[in-house]
Amino acid sequence: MILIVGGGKSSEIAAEEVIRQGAVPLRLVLPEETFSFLPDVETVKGRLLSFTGVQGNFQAEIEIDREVKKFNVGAAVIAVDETPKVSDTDCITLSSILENNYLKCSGTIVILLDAKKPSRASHIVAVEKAIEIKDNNPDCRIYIITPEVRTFGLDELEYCKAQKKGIIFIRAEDIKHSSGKMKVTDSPSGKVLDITPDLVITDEEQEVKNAALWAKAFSINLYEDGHFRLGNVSRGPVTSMRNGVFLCGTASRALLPREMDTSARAAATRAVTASQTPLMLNSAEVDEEKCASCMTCVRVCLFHAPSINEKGKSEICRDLCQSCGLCVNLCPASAISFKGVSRIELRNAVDDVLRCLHE
Amino acid sequence: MYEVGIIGGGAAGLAAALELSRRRVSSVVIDSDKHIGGLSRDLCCKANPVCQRCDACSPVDIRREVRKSPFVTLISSSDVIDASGGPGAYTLSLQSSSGISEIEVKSVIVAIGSPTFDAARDARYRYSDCADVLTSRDLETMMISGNISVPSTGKTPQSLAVIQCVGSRDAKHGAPYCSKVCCKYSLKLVKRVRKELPEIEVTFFYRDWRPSDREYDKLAEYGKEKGVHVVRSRPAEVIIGSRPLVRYATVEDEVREDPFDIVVLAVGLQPPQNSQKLASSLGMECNQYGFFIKKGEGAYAAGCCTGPKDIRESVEEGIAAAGKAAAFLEGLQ
Ligand code: SF4
Ligand code: SF4
Ligand code: SF4
Ligand code: SF4
Repeated sequence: MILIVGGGKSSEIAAEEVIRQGAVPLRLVLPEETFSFLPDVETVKGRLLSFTGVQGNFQAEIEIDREVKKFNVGAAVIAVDETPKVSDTDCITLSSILENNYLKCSGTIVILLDAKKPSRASHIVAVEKAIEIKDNNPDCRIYIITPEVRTFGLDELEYCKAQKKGIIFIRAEDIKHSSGKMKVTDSPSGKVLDITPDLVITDEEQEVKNAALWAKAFSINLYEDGHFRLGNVSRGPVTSMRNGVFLCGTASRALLPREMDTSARAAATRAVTASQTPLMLNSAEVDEEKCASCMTCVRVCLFHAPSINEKGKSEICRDLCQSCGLCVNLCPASAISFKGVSRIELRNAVDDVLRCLHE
Repeated sequence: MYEVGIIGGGAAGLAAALELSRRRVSSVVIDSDKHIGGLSRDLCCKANPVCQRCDACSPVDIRREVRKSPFVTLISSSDVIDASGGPGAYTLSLQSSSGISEIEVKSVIVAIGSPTFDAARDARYRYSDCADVLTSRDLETMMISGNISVPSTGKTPQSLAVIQCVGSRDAKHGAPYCSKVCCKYSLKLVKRVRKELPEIEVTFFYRDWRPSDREYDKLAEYGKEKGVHVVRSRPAEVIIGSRPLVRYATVEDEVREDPFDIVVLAVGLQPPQNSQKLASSLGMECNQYGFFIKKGEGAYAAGCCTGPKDIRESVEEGIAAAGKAAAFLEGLQ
């Protein structure tokens, strides 16, 4: 089973892809969260209390309706998308014109795109909407005011089309807006323009809601700006720093709809692969005959894997051992080894590494 | 007989092969170049010294894994000249110096990438007749060799101009779209160059700042650093003199001609060549520019051949295509 967290678009695509690839998704959303209904996907509302184990064999404890349930999970995909921050101004926003029909507006319309952390799609959404309004009502004047026009890739063609239709683009950093009047400084030319808009539409700041909550439950980190921290480049895209936990959509970075689709499918693919290939850590093992019960291994292991069992001998917990080799080298009785690797081989390998470092 | 035939051994193709091999699905990667690795092979690491997440090393890591995998066969110096069949049984015809051969596969992933714009085609910028006008790729290669010098004199450059959107957002040269990656790569490259040569003066001519990460204020911030100038202008031309002159209009509407030691053209991504023919022989479709459209069963497309994108997105698309192909193969059994 693949655990998919989030109720937005990315979670839908990831769940669809998991099913296509023959695995079973379980979608988890917070009790207060809204989500789209998917007929083939089991969606539960609950809180993740803990997520333990390793890739291919995680245990998730989820509180559903005050009851704690346990699930065996092969891998997890965090698909918590950005959502618009609720603002206190009563400005009309881009997402509200998508929901309501503003096609009938007339006069001078200003679309102001200068939010600090907007959705990556805000510019193309604004351009497409402006074209729609203009087609419906050719007499209106539409200004799109923004520091930069960001129509990425093939979206550029829509920008060219909008210009041809007479929609006016102003690149401006310096925008003064008070009592129905706007003073805008066009940055390429330095000219100041006065505009009296009948309608102002703005773009919205985005945020990943409850990111800290999820990050804690999965023991992964966040960036300062509240997005989930991606794994290092060498771990590949859509990874987090934890094996078997993947990130997709706008959970970790701003993306266009098409890019979100790709990343959700990639994360689903990697999660399905991960759930089929349990991480094989070759844990250290104690030869009880040799063990002198000196406690050295118990004290040195950073992962609390060795403990003294009822027979009074050391025993290493396979799930906790990270194969670091520390105890293997420090055991005075030479009682600890990795399966299939002799102490001599280990020493030779370490010597090789040291020699390389010295050269 | 291989399960999946992957046409193109760049970031996307190799990522697909690696993901398939993790699922123990055999694949064959066919590349026309002598060296597998694609466009990203000649990009330099932009760490300065912290990793800037340019992703240039990611295809290298993937290639290393792929080479070790018993499930992947790599065929270089071979072109796929024809394809036939349909979902479940495709035949790919390969041409190499040793002749023509055929390969049978059950599924195909097209990851032929996209070439960069040939800077000589935009005659205004004098790429072909001025040695000190380079493309961004030339500068990357220079960076890898560790020796940044003015080509005509061999001296260390004191000044550098970067011209963005060359061969992109340019209907005259058949590429009215934005290449999406050059803003990101150029800034990271310039930062890397200035790490190497802290004294160099850099002027960045751009039209709109379109980073692929949300680094919206990064350019303006960088422009405030000493020795960095950020100019919103599309230069009209490069004039050949003792040093190349960049002619551009300023905010005050006057025309200036500034000399630089090196002028770098940030070249865009072009649609893949002959894509239409390959697409129709595999039952796929292309858009009006020749970029593959992702749909259908059995044959999939990934990477820059479906539209301009950065390495990271290409790798993601390769992984996603591998997932689709694997699911398709399961359905066959
Ligand atoms: S260090 Fe060796 S001898 Fe000491 S308790 Fe551990 S296994 Fe036994
Ligand atoms: S090998 Fe390392 S992780 Fe494993 S038990 Fe020994 S010290 Fe702990
Ligand atoms: S991502 Fe780029 S900067 Fe970072 S290590 Fe790789 S090549 Fe270097
Ligand atoms: S990414 Fe930047 S440089 Fe490249 S085409 Fe788009 S706007 Fe121009």
